[in-house]
Amino acid sequence: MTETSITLTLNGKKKTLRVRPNELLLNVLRDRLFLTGAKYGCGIGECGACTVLIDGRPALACLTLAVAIDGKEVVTVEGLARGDELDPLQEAFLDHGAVQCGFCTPGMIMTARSLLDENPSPSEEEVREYIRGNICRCTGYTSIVSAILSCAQEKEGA
Amino acid sequence: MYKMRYAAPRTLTEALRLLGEEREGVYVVAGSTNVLPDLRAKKIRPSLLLSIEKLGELKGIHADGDVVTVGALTTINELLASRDIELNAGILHQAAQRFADPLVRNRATIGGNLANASPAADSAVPLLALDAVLDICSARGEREVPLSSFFTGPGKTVLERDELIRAVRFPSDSENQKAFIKFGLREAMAISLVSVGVELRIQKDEVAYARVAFGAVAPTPMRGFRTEEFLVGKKLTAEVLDEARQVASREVRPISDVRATESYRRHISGVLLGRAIKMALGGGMS
Repeated sequence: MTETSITLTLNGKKKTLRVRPNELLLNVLRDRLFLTGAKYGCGIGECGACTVLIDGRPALACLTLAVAIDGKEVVTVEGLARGDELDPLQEAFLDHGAVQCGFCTPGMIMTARSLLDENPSPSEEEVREYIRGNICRCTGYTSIVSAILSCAQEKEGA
Repeated sequence: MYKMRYAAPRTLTEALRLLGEEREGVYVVAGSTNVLPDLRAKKIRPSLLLSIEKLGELKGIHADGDVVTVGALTTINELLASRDIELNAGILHQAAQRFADPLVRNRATIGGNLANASPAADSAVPLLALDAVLDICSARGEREVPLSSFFTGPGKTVLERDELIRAVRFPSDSENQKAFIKFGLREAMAISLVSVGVELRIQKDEVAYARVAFGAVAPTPMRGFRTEEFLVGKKLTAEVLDEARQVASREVRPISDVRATESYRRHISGVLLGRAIKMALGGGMS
């Protein structure tokens, strides 16, 4: 298959890659760039484990062709921390024990990041509604929701 | 290994040329939330994936007087964020809130949801109730197709191989009373078991205008023409509502599948119609 050259901004850095027309963004991230935060869960857009930000909005890397992100900006969970300093959401997930097996965590955090960027002080209902596409099979939703809400409150109080 | 090519033209003319030239196996993609699962399940073997994502001509929401035009590439989240949609297509706004999840809504487009022609397509029911018309284009020219005659079967539409949906157009529903209900087996990411949309205008206590649409209860999303006809001219008393529920239950043509039986879907269609009418009139759910 003919390869195409694409340029994207990945976690703040410009990258040029050659990709085949059938390559998924998720596989390029994981297998070629070794960014293994985004997970391969269901592969059909039902579970949200592969969530990354594309142009600032959370989207499913398993349903996105790598060729289609030419010219776009992608942020993965690896791009959230500033040096050694974790994103407040990552800290909150640790503090609230919102990580059990950890498989859903990167996707959950990316979706939650986007929610808080859009709406800095969401209600519990708004949080639950926003993360409805991110499935946690450990069913640790209570701590996940409280971790997200704690960031909202801290932001508001700051 | 079979070969699949990919093209992402920047102009509509170029896209239509490619679509017209290619004999077989062209699949049009925008957000790719429908095409990729099919591709990976080997249900389809495209020779060319034609991405229309870069076509500016297919983008944007315009409310001009009483007519709203929504470009085919508008994502479900763009519908949700649009004040024009909230004001002039309240029912579509309600349906967008029930559509899949925020991750899919960022990529899925209204044109794709219609072209995919799922009997349960969540944008089709409100658009049928809005009396929407599709602007369809090809290298041969343009044509308009009312949404009510667009779908021909599960996954099938009147779109010819060289045609693209350019936009969806409908009159503003700001003066109507309306409601959309999606009934699924769970809250998130559920395929509709039954969905219902109603648009009503009441004058002197009587129904002066009615549009009713159902999803997932026929081979295609459908208009409830008989139910509409029954409602117009009637006072919405408890008896009339009861009868309307029965008309709706008889009018739908559901099948039994893994999610529900035919008779259950018929029953629920009537129940949801009653609820939707009450919601539209501001009475909440019964």
